[in-house]
Amino acid sequence: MATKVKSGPRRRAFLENGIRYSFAAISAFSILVLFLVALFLILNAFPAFQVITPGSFFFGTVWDPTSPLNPQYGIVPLFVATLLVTLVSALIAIPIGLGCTIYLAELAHPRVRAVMKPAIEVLAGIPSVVLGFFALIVLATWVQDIFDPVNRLNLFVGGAMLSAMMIPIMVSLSEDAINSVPRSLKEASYALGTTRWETISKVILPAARPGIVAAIMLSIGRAVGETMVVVMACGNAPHLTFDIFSSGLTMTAAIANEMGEVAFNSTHYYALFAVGLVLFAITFILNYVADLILNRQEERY
Amino acid sequence: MNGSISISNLNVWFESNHALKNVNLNIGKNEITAIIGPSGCGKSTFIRCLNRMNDIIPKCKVEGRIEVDGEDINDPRMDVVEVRRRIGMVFQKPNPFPKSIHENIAYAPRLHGMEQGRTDMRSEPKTRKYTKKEIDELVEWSLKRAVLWDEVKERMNKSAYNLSGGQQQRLCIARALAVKPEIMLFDEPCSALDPIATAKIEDLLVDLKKDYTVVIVTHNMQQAARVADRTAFFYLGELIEFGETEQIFEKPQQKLTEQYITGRMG
Amino acid sequence: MNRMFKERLLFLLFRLCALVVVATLVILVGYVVINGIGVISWSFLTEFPKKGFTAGGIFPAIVGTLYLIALVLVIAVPIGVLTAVYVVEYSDQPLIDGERVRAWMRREAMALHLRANAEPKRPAKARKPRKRGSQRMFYRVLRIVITNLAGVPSIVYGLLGFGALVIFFNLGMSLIASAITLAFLVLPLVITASREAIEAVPSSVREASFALGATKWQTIRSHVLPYSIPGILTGVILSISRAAGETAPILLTGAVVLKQTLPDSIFSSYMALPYQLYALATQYSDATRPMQYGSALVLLLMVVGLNLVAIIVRNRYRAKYRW
Repeated sequence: MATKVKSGPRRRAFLENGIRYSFAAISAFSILVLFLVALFLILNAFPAFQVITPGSFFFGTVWDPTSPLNPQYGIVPLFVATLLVTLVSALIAIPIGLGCTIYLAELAHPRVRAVMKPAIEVLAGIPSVVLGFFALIVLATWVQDIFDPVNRLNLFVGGAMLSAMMIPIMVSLSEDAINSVPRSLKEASYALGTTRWETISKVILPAARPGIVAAIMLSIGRAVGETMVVVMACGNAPHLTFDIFSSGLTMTAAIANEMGEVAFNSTHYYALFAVGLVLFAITFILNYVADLILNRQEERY
Repeated sequence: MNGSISISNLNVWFESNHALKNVNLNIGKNEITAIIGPSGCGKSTFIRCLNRMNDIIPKCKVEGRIEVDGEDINDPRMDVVEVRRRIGMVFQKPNPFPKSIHENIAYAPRLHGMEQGRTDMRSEPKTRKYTKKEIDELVEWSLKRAVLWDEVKERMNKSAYNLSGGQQQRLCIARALAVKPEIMLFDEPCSALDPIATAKIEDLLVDLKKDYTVVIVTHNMQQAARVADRTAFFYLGELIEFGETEQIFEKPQQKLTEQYITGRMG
Repeated sequence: MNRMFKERLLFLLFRLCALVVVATLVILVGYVVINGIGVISWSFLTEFPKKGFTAGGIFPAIVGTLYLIALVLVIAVPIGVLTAVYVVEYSDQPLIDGERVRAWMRREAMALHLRANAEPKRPAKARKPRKRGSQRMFYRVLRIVITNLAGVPSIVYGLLGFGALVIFFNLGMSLIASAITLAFLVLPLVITASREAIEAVPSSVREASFALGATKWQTIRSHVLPYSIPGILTGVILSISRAAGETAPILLTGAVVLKQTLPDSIFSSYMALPYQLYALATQYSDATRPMQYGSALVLLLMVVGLNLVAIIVRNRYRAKYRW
């Protein structure tokens, strides 16, 4: 039997530390990526402000970058369109999502739950382009028949379809929040002779509130950042409008539509990066705050 | 092979909490030494120092000498892997690996290899790989020593999780014995077990002390009285009294000890 | 009676909400399936599109998507899993299970009746490599990064992929540019799923291994990783399904509507199912509608199929390893 002579513990420490540092290096790579993301966005957005004044960018109400005589880069129409679409989507998705969550968490028969939860996960997994396709062909026609909108493809259609994307996120995150409320609280409430609804509304929901708020923020973040549904369903007309039944161009759609046709290193090119930066900032803030809320809740229990 | 432990000026901090204060103690070889005291007195912290398990807790600082056979295991030059091989530990809640009974025991010896000549704990000993036959024999020997062989010999390849609590704990003992330690540490090994399983393990402990130095933490005074040769009483992180078990329980020198023994203190 | 009535009404409402959600799923999937099923055939799956997308099949789009998936796997899985191992095993944060350790430490502190400022802090003797505050900082930053990477809009990834990979690194509109972009899109998913799987291994198993004299890496390799693999696999499958369905990142980095040949290297442009659907639906006439439905159905089946596989793996894993 060959004698395996190992040298002293220094060798083992060396190996173990080597492995540890390799892992650390790889993780550091992930951090690097995020910083590069932010950095790259800033670097490519910055040149835009040498030509466009920040004022006219952030407060300008006309987005017309391809006009040969007087290109304008006001982000307000894009921002408003994003806002309206998100609003429509949230107004539909949050109540329905919450209602569905309460049903799933507290009322549903376990067998029903066992079928519904995977179903919701499937809904969550449907690619956004398929949803956009459906909105473009089917939903827009329904909306047209019911509401007689100014444009067939409009912000409402986009928002309504977006809610189908928001709902699964709302449901799964809110469900986590509700399920993490300790059973002892529920039992204490029942022991005092309250009805189920009273327990839910007065004990469980308030206790789960941070998690639900975080869920709302994260789903809104998702809606703000969504591209394919809005680019296919909202019409992409870059005018400033508050009529949800007219076409609109969201920030994401602007980038998707125009980036392909833009000349490198032109003002338009940089301006689109500036829009991307704004998007990044909004979703970053939403995610960060939601994360803070969730962590604070973890420490409560 | 010695197996005595000499502890001097041992201090342990968890962040800013001074968990163990200036502990001085000599543990004799081939004896059972019991560590008793109320909850939170530092018994578990103490015993975990003896095989440097406190290393894996991030905010823990240890100072002081712990000499095993004349070598200080807290010396930075010590190979902690070797320390843990020579000082085995059995935990409060049985924690077999999610593998077969055979694999549970074979895992560590296979990792370390068979020793050929013991050296100090600063360097790795010369080893060679066990043959399959040697592993099987080692597994059987460990299980017999832990009085578990007859109960499991027909199902060596089944999962360890199918055993009862008491059997799992004996499996953990066998697993620790398989790496041929000199010292065995037990951190409240019976607190999760029923009285019959407890009795079996207590008998095993008395049998083990013939070949090993045994240190056992227990919150059960009667258990200490039953099995231990010497007993150490800890309170609020300090070693209050240490001596022959009979003397501790019948003629305690310190007031605190007496209060604890007679049940006047938690 | 009023209390009960109000409750019954509300509960009915909630039930309706759930019904609406299920109905949405059924309608969506139903529409695509009903209209698409007639289009799918063996030739549809294996032929190139012809006559301006009114005949033929979507073979190149399927192949392009598969190439993308393969590349994304190669990039994202190693980085993601190794990062997760590092975060769980090598950083100084106690695990979820380390709640036990923290609670125990708190109890010890209470029992010792100590105030935090009573004992002066003493410098520890250097007994092992000192864990510096910078390492803890590293871990905190890493955690924030992973959470936020997950929230970046996919179009921003596309934008960056375009500016950084296509232009700056001169990879051109290519498979590799899209694959890298997608890999970073799904990286947080892989990391999170792997993390959860690794953290689920109870610390008592690790403790037992350490007490037997195993090193950290030996413990990870023999006890932690083998039992995390199903969980990691679930995360990987879910991220593939995500990557396969994304359009915005590939729109700007390499997908094209029509290419006469299959991509011949990772530096060539390619056709892909999601982009195919988008382009046909928005830029081509209604005559291509059948192909649109067919693409939608194939994409849907692929993604939903992968998700179902992931769910099955996860459920079987949960049943098997009930610690």
